[in-house]
Amino acid sequence: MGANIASLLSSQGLDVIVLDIDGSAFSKLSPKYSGFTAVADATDIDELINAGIERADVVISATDNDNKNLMIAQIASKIFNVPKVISQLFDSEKEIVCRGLNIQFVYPTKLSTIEFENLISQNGELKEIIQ
Amino acid sequence: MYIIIVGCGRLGSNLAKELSDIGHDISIIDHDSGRLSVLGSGFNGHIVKGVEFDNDNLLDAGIDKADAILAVSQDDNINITISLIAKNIYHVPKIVARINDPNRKYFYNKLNIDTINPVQLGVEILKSRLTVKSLDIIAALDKDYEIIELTVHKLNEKANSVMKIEAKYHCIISGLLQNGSILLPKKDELLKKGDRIICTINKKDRDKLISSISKEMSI
Repeated sequence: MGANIASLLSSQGLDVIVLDIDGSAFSKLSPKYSGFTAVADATDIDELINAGIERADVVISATDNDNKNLMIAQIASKIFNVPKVISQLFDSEKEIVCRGLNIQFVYPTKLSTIEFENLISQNGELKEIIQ
Repeated sequence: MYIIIVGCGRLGSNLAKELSDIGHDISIIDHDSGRLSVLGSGFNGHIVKGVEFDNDNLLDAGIDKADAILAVSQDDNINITISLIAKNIYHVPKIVARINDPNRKYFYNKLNIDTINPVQLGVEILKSRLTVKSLDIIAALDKDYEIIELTVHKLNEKANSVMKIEAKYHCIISGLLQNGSILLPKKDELLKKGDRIICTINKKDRDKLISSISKEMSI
């Protein structure tokens, strides 16, 4: 998901930097991606500062691990007052940890479940969900 | 409905639990017992451990009686194989497949099979979160009014207190989130950068309020 959104935002002209602890992950970015990449541990405050978090307008936390995402989101929101912080979360119950902080969540599994339920309860039409 | 779920990863297991909770009969197949174990002892569907596209396993799961089959493994090849078997051999009425690689979509289009791309769904929502201008719409009240939550980024002298903002933008500020805790603001309370306010406002005035005290994200 991170690669997708990074490629998309970059293609719209925004300044993007993608951090991943594993450099080989950057191969998932679109070939037209024109932003920066950095191999970094995003739970490490020094590495976040190096990546420019102090001047970031948006931080999106899209690792595979809910706990890491929460930690990064909290650091971004609470310590660096990043105006917009969005985090991916698979277990929606964990969002309670961030109550009161300016963090928005995206629940990928919930979205898919809703879509599936919509599709199953229809009566046999082909539906184009996402172009 | 009788539904078969193929693949017990995060998506499959969540689907199994949710659909089972709302009363559907569920069978779930995965070759990995570790993945199947996340279903827990409370899960009252039918579990099949084995190769997902194996005919015997599919029959064990009840594919000949299923109303729907959801191919949601992380392997597109498995999902396509299952979809083909379900459609051509067992004529399962409803087939939905998860797509990991968007390039595979044309297979499914040719077969007339519905698909879902979970990453795409997430990206769409994320996009909408970015384009909404630094505010959350908490509730839409009838067609004109909303309850919104927004962050204060800038203030000018004429509208820097709760009372002044309410007068200028014809709204009511019912909550003030400061330093992590929420309180009912006093009317003469002065706002600061970084505060979040909850207010009931007419949609017509909402944009003016936002451009005045909040930051616009231009995406």
